[in-house]
Amino acid sequence: MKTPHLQIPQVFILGMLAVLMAMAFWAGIPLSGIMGDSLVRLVMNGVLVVSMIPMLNAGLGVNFGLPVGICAGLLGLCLAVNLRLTGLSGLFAAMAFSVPGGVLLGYLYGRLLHRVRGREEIAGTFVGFSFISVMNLFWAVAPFTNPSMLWPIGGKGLRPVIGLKGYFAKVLNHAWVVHLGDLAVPVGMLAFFAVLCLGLYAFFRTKTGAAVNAVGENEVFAGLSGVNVRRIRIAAVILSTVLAAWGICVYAQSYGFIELYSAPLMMAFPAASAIFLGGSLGHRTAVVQAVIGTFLFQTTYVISGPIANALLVPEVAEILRMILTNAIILYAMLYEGRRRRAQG
Amino acid sequence: MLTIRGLTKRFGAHAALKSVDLHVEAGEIHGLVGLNGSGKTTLFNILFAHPLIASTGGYAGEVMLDGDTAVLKEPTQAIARGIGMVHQEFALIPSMTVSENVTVRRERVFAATQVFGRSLALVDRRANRDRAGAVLMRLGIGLDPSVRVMDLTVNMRQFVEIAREVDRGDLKVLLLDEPTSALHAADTEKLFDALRSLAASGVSLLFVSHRLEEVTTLCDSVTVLRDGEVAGRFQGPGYDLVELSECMIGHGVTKARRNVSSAQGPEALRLRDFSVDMPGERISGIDLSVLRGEILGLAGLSGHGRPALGYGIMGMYAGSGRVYVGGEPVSPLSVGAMIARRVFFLPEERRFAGLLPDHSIMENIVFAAMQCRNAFLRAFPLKAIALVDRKEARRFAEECIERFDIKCTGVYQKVSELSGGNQQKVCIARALATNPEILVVSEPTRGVDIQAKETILNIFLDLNRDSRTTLIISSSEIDELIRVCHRIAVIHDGRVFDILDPTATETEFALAFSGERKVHA
Amino acid sequence: MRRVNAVPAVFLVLSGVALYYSDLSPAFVAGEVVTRFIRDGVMVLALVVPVTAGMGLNFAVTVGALAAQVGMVLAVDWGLQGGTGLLAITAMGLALSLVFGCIIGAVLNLVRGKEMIATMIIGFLATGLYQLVFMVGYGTFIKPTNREMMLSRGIGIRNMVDLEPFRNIMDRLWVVQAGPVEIPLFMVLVVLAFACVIAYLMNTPLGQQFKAVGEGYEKARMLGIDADAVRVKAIVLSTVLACLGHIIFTQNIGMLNVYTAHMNTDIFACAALLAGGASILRAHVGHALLGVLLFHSLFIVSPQAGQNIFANAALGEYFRTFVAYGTIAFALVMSTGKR
Repeated sequence: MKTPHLQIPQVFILGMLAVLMAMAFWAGIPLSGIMGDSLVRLVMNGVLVVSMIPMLNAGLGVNFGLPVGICAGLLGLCLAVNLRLTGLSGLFAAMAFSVPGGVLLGYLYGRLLHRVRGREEIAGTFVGFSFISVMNLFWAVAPFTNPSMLWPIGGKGLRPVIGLKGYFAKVLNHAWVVHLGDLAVPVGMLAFFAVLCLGLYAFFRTKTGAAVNAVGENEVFAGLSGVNVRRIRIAAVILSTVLAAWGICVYAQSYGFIELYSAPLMMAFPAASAIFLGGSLGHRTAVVQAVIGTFLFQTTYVISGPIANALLVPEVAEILRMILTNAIILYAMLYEGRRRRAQG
Repeated sequence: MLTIRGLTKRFGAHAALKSVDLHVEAGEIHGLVGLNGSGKTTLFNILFAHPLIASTGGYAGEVMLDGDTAVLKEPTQAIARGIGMVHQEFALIPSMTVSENVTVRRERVFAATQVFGRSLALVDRRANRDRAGAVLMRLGIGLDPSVRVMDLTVNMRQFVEIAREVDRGDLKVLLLDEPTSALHAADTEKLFDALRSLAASGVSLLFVSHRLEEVTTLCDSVTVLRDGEVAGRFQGPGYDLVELSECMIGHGVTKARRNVSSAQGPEALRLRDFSVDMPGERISGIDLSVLRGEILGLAGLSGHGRPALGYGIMGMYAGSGRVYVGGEPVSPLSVGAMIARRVFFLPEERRFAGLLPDHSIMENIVFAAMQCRNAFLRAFPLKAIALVDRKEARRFAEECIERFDIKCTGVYQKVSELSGGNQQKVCIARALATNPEILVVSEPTRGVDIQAKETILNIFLDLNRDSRTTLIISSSEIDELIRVCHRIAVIHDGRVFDILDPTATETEFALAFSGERKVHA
Repeated sequence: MRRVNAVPAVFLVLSGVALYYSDLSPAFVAGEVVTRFIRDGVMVLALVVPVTAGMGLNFAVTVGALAAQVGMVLAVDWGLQGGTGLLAITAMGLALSLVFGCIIGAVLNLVRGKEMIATMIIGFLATGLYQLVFMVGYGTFIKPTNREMMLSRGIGIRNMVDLEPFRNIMDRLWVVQAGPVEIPLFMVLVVLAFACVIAYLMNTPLGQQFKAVGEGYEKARMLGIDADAVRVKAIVLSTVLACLGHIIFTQNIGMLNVYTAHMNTDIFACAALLAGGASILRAHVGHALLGVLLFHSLFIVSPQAGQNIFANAALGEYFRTFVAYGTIAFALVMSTGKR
């Protein structure tokens, strides 16, 4: 293990956080609320972020095709709502329902990405985009029956936004909340996330996990050591896809709504940015780095909203997030490119 | 006229060229020969100002053209000084036509359209076609210049590559890197005629080839490089091929040899009519038998197929023929099947194929054994997701570090931080983790310092003696093969040319390397 | 040898089927297609050079579009009118796109092999910075002269800016009536002129260098071509053309959607180019011209066809988004090889 050293994105974001904190303090926004919110948002988005790790470590680059997995998750969520499942069991049922779709889609997506080796990122981006438009067609005609999911007029096709109130909205958020003074700590939610992360951490210490890392670093080595490179790459894609499906389940319950149609179109980008923010660039990404990255990213998100409102230009928060997201991704690409150039 | 004085090039601690002097007269065809790693490629890269040279710290010494020192930092500068190069891998643009390729950067344009400068003027395709056709005719090739290069045979591409250089009016020095490797005999003759007439027009030619007979036919004089130094200069015509080969291989001070006790025992590995289609290193129809407990050396010049054997056995390239391990045929060939039969292969490109530089020593050592033999795993019904037994892995890695004297801070150090010799030891350790009966090793001592070299060779000898491991060692260092092997197979032109005893004379090796039959006295 | 690219045929058949079911009059569709040809033609042409230079689809054409928008907002702010205004917009847009093109080119030289995803990210990043300037910067750091275009809170420009002074200045020139279809001949000629310029460029020594670098970066360097510089030139050219294309587009529309007009121009332009039979490794002017016609034919008729076939207009709408993304995804997946 090398001692982690800060890189420009981390320094930048820490500086920005410090400034934002100071402004929040000055504007009289309570910090405890911000902390509680950012813990919730950590888990809400964290599962989507860590879902990228298997593909990243298998050498497929950032999974800009995240919408593929998200759609599998949305399918699971819709099934659970259609069956009118409620509470934590409803959420877990949705996650379970999304597994078969995730595995199948992950397998097909993995095969597709194996065709386009070296160009996985851009191909994944557009496979994700076009898959969303295919799913748009599906949502518009899907034979779901629960009226609260369907367009109120005509009763055909799913609504763009399905409220989860009465089903499993925020069940994980509210599971075992501990109040420390003003700070509300969502212990249940954090514990759930911790278990998931530990599982992923353990996976990388198994035979297959080690093969994923090896394939990502050196395919010839892996091949000469008897690893079926293609199979391992596809396995990594399947794992990423299923985790992304779970990620949207957690996200939706936390948000309280299922957002269908084009809502997930751009979700891959903030997740990619978060992973670069915490990750040591150009090397294997550890689960803990993804978690730190998500936390930093989401804290800026939480904190910038009220400050922007206080400054009377509410859009600025969204714009800054957009700039931040893409600047970090671009920086990561430049860093990687320079590293490759230096190696000749 | 090209003069090189005291040319030295270092890559880190390793000196690829050490104070090389060379002089080529105008109109002279000068041959450059040497084994792998003797510095030919580096010399060419410097002369053609390959960007790699500048990015690795440049060179020391002087390159003079017609008496002026040339600054060589990027190809444009070399080209401006009249240096041209015929690349072994062809610098041709496949989807462009022959005439576009021949005239690239020197296209004729319609004068009337030059208002915005030459680079925005309209290309005169017919003029270029005529010019390219004329140049090809001068080379004795009747070829339609409007054909796309991708539709040409490799033979023809070679002539297009040369035509492009000849087309320049200002060519003074032409570097030719293995220009005949893709040619048939008849075309080689044609090429030589073209080169001779080019030389007659006053161009200096520097010719690299691994085919000694060609060098001796074509060149006015020959310089031999060995270990980055000039090992000898020969003046034609009428070269002594044996002397030339000996000079190339060198009379290394042969240290204590092994006690040659001919290996006995059953056949460990047998190749029958074995061909491997590895680009640039094809082997075809090899028959070879290796006995259990034997150390077999593989020698030969590059381009003749030596590296293809190991990759071929592991099924990494398409091929044909049969491979028997312990008398049993293996089909299809795959890494998994071979490791299961306790055959392991360590490739020559340590950093690119042999190691995971970013992983720890321990992870590298146990990886193959874990993947193929389910070793170092904790008990779990589903092996694919069984946890790695890190305690056991650590114990084994520590044992290896001690046994092979790997200099490191501990099992968790990244292998990229180790020296070449220690990396090689990690490679050997990871092979041993799979408990192999047959170990195929390629260039085990390349880029390794002298002391580590000794240790590595001793490891091989110990392995062979203590565990009766069969070893196939492929190396361009004939000295070390002589020291450790029972027999040495010399590969020439994709076949086993001869199998020599390590006690064979330098001359016998030299002859086999150049593909000459022994003159039986 | 070369595979026949079936994509244009597929577009032709799909458009034909959709046209049949849409019940739209062919004359109406033809008129619409001509309009789209004028609006989007140059933007699609802007993509040809980077593909030839081996950099793939340049999604950063949005940056060229942003340069044009900056010019327009400034022109409106300074109250410029008519032809002079249009010239000023063009001059500002060109200057900015030249600078941006150089920056993008330098960035892409660092991320060789991943140019396409990088251009996408660059597009998003530029959008963010642009929005920051005009939504937050205007009214705080930058003092507007034209109060009309500001939001009521005094900070930030309105979403919609009326381009009345410049609307259809060029579109009204030389309009000819071909039966029921109205054809603004001048603008059609302008687009064709751009096409000719690019076709010409491909036949100059510079064009040969684009091709050489596109086929093999390392090989081109061995031939003494400054490959990095050639790639920068390709991107600068593309960005400049995109800027000009976007000026033509917005003056035709007559309104500027300040914050969103440039969005998706890259997607539609790329899809159109590929619809014409280009691949991410090979494209020429013919692909671009044919592609605009085919892609927009399908685009115009599919919502109505969806309505008539499935009694659901939304389906046609989703279908055409799918066509845009799907065409690009298909091209990326199909053109394997190369590295």
